Amino acid sequence: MDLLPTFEQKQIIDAVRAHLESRARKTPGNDDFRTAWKQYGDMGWFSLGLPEADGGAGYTAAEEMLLCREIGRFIPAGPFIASMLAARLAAAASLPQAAEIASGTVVVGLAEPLAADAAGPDPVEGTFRTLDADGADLLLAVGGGTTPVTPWAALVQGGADQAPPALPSLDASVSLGQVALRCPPAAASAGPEMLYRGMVLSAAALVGIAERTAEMSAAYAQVREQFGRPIGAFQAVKHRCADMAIRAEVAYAQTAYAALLVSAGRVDPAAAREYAAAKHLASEAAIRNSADNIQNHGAMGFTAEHDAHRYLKRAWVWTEALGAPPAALTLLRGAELTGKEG
Amino acid sequence: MRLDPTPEEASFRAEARTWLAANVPADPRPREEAAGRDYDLAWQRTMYEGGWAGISWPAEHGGRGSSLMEQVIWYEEYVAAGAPPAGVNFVGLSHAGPTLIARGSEEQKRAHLTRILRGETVWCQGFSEPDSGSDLASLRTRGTVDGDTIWVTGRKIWTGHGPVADYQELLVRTDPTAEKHRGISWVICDMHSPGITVRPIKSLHGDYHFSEVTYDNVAVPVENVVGELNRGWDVARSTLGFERGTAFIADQVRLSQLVAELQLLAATRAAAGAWAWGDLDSGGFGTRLAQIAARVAGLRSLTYLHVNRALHGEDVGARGSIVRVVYSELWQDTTRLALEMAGRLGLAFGPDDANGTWSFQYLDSLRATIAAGTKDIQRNVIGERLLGLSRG
Repeated sequence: MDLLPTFEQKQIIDAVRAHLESRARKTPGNDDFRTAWKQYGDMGWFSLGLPEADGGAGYTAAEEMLLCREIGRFIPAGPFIASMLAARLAAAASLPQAAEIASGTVVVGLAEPLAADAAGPDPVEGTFRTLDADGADLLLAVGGGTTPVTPWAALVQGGADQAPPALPSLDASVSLGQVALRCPPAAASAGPEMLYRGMVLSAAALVGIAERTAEMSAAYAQVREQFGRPIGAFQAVKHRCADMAIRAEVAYAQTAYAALLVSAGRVDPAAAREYAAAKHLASEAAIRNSADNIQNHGAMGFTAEHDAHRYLKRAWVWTEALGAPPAALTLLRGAELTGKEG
Repeated sequence: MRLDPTPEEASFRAEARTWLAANVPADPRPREEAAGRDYDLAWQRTMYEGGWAGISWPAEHGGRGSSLMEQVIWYEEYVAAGAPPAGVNFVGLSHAGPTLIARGSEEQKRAHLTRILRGETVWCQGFSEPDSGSDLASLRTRGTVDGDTIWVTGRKIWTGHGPVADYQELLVRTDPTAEKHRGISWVICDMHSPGITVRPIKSLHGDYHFSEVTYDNVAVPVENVVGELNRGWDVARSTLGFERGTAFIADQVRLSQLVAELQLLAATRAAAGAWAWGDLDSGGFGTRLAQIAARVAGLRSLTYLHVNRALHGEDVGARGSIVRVVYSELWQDTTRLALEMAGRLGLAFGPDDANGTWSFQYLDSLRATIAAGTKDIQRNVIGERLLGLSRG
């Protein structure tokens, strides 16, 4: 067991980080991801974990997890995780669009059930909440999981030509929509693989938020002075910063472990509980850390100008996507609901 | 990153599992101190003869010399097999022994290490004082050097297994004029020396684990100083480091067992409509158990990550405090939830009573955020040493 990145994995992290850092400098705040999407595709981000035979880089869910963690640290706009999952689903179904999804020429938004009538994968029907679907060419619909219904995933037309009207969004950098779907899938998975992978990758992005906000707070607490001392010298602030670091470390550890299980192809109930634990811990860490980060920055943290609110808002988007709290907790209750261990 | 065990790790696990299955004592540890001592020492002797004593100790000092990952595997198997906690052997194996290995003279190592491994001697700790808890370096128990002898007078407290101990790792102030960290010596004190009085202290849940030790002109030979005279603070710091080492993994695995037991109990009792555990959803218990289960998974992964960091050559000192905080608060939250789930039946009390065990475990868990550095001190360590925040 080794949960730390190898030398090669660190190089991937460094490359991704360098790119996102420079992009964040050039387009602070609300950038339009569509202009950058082909660039991400060219760098192989959407096909990082696909086999080389499917046009991917031949890496595993571990590298995808590390990529998503960096995305969480910089919160660039765009449906990264939906695209990575869609590229996988399309490649498995040998869809002609697989290469275009991977290259970023086709954009895939995310659709998840909004009402109990939603079902899938063949046909996909019901009312769905969409994320980043404004201008997307395809939708990745993922359902099931909150009930004993087996999770499923499907790639459907539902983008540009019948784009859902954009709704006011908690996170202004993520377009929000609602769409009624009733269509056969272009590609489908009747198993839980996509949801599980999506849970772990969204957990990874949340880990990135938890880590980044913990770092922001510690850095600020070192330099901001009140009563003649850096505020980090006061135990109330120091301990809050310590708790942020603790949550981030636990969330990373569990998410890294979960990513290794995804790489091993595990979909059994014991593995599902590990994925759910990762999602639950990472959501908690990201939401609490980004809220604490606002607190630590005082009134500046409450302004629109400061980045702190952007992390909190994105934390909620990724928490509700792909294994939201009810789904994660249902999976975690497996042992106790069935009365069986293991 | 890597999931699968190496072939060496897999065979180590198999070997440990086989040996433990054949050797773990069948009867439970007696609660009474003297009988408990005999039980713990007999088990230590069994491990010594089986070649498993001192799992983290270097082979040249009689230990198993296992790698960090093997130690993790050992403690996982150890708890899974129902092997007893280290008990009276804890200080010898996890504090005093490793300190002697790191800082002791050849003479001191020869005199003590093998006897600890064989389960022949019991060690206790004499660090805290009534007026020196978190601020340990303010300790005032005097050690007056006179020729070959240090005359010790003062008071120590929170000494575990004091009444049944043979030796003590003892911190005394041998230079009262020096700066507080520079006048302390780490000495080996024979607990059978004249002038020592051990008074057991009753804990809030009725146990007599802790004691207070008073020293009335106790003679300790100067040759019992470990490391240099007046440099005991550095020696003590290395001991505290070991306290947060791999031995805690056993406690963590035990906690995960407790949660699994709780889940099973909740499910079976709910199914039978029995006890207070009737409806898992009425008190939000099902959800809260699920959240606890997630934290247990996180703690196990955190432990792996911690070991990985050490193997990758990172300085893990301050990160040990993260593991400690996560473990101790999770333990407390778990026992609290268990007590709540037990409902009015949980108002019964007693370690061996089917209903009373939950209130006992709940009260017992309160020590976790005090011992080995309070949760406040742990957060100071994380804030100052890991995050670079000012000491204030």
